[in-house]
Amino acid sequence: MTGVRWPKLRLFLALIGILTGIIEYGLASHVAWLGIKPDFTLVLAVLAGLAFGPYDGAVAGFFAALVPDLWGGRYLGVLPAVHLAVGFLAGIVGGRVFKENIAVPLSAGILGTLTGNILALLLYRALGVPFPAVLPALSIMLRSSLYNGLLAPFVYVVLIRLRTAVRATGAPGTPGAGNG
Amino acid sequence: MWKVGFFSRIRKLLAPALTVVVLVTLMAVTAREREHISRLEEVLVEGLAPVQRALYSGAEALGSGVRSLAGWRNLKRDNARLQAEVGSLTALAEQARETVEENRRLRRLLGFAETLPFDYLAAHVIARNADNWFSTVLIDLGRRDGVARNMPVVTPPGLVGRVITVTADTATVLLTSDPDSGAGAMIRRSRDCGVLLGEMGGQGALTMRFFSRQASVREGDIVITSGLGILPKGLLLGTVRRVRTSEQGLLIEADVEPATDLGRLEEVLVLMRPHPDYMDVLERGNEPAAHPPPLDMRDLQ
Repeated sequence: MTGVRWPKLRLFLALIGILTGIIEYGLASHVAWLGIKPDFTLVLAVLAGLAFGPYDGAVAGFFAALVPDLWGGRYLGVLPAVHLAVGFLAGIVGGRVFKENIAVPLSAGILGTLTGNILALLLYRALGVPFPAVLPALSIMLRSSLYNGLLAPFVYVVLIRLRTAVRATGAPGTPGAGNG
Repeated sequence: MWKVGFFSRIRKLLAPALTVVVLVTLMAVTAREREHISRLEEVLVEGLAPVQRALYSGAEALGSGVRSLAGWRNLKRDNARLQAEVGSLTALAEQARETVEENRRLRRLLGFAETLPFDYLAAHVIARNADNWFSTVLIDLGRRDGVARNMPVVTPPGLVGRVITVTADTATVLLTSDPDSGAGAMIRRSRDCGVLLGEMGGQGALTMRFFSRQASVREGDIVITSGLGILPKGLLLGTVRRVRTSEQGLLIEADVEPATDLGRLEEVLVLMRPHPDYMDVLERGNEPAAHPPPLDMRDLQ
């Protein structure tokens, strides 16, 4: 997908991202599964990249991570950086896959979460936080990847409908408009 | 022409480059604990606190309702013909049950608080950190209530953490299981000292690292705060579950089970100031023996 981006779409994705961040901070601990909290913001970043492209995925991820990041009060910038990178990478990979297959968002959710967690641990290590023990960390990463992967198809359906609606408006430079 | 293309490329790279510079600067500045958070952070936390409070309480109530519903299935089958009549009464009963449960928790908290040689304030937990690597909670007390950085936060079983950032009406509490947490700790039996550390993604796991290689510690030992550091002496931290040597084989370490279930915090106490006689005892270099058994909360359970 190339060309001029539709600015209102990016603004909309940014607002959706901020709302997702607020909801995550309030609800994630209540829907924990086996002690693992879902990461709605990372799921949004990955799937926005998949559905709309790398730059839109980066915008969605950046704004989604802002609220949890600022609320935490420590290591500011890590979450937005990780989500931005994951959203961007998902957009690049998304340009090469058949997006209508249900396995795509499922796999993207799993791989995106793994990638995001690894990037985050590397950044925290660079800031002086010791690496966690290997086996527990792997257990957390795999369980959270699975949880996010199972959530991803539901979010993806909504984003695909949004993409269809955006194309239907025929707005100039609409992502993928006329590109099939 | 080449100049136009060059400047065009520079312009496209400017936004991402500026973003990276800002993010890296933020990370470097905020990696260490800060005396005060920025005005923007304070405004954001204060502004969204009511929303978070509503979301958090709503989710708690919904979860409680779902758990109760599972237990009512048998009753529903046996009392089918009375369903319509008891429908509204059941909803009222659930509300009452939640109120009774909260009352019970608060009475326990009050009973425990009255044994403390501290001034204190009771607070509700209104949000938790959303990731799986760190451990913090947000409470509904702040600067306007007299809360300040480094104040200990406890529940009837024991210490849960300390305040690290404060806004006008909220405060963030760093739990003992957080990797940035390091409480001065002591084995109550042997008086051997060390530091109690949280672990990244440890989900409540605590490790005590002893200063002395000859430390006397065994499974079942009670761990309390040593008073060496920010936290006052005598607060219950947990129980030793396993003793081992460190990876390098130089130090003794112990796995400690926290006294409090850090995953189920609802009401907590923020310890404000120790009572005057408590400080007098400490300044004379004696144990606060005149006070109740250094805050052994399990007597209240």
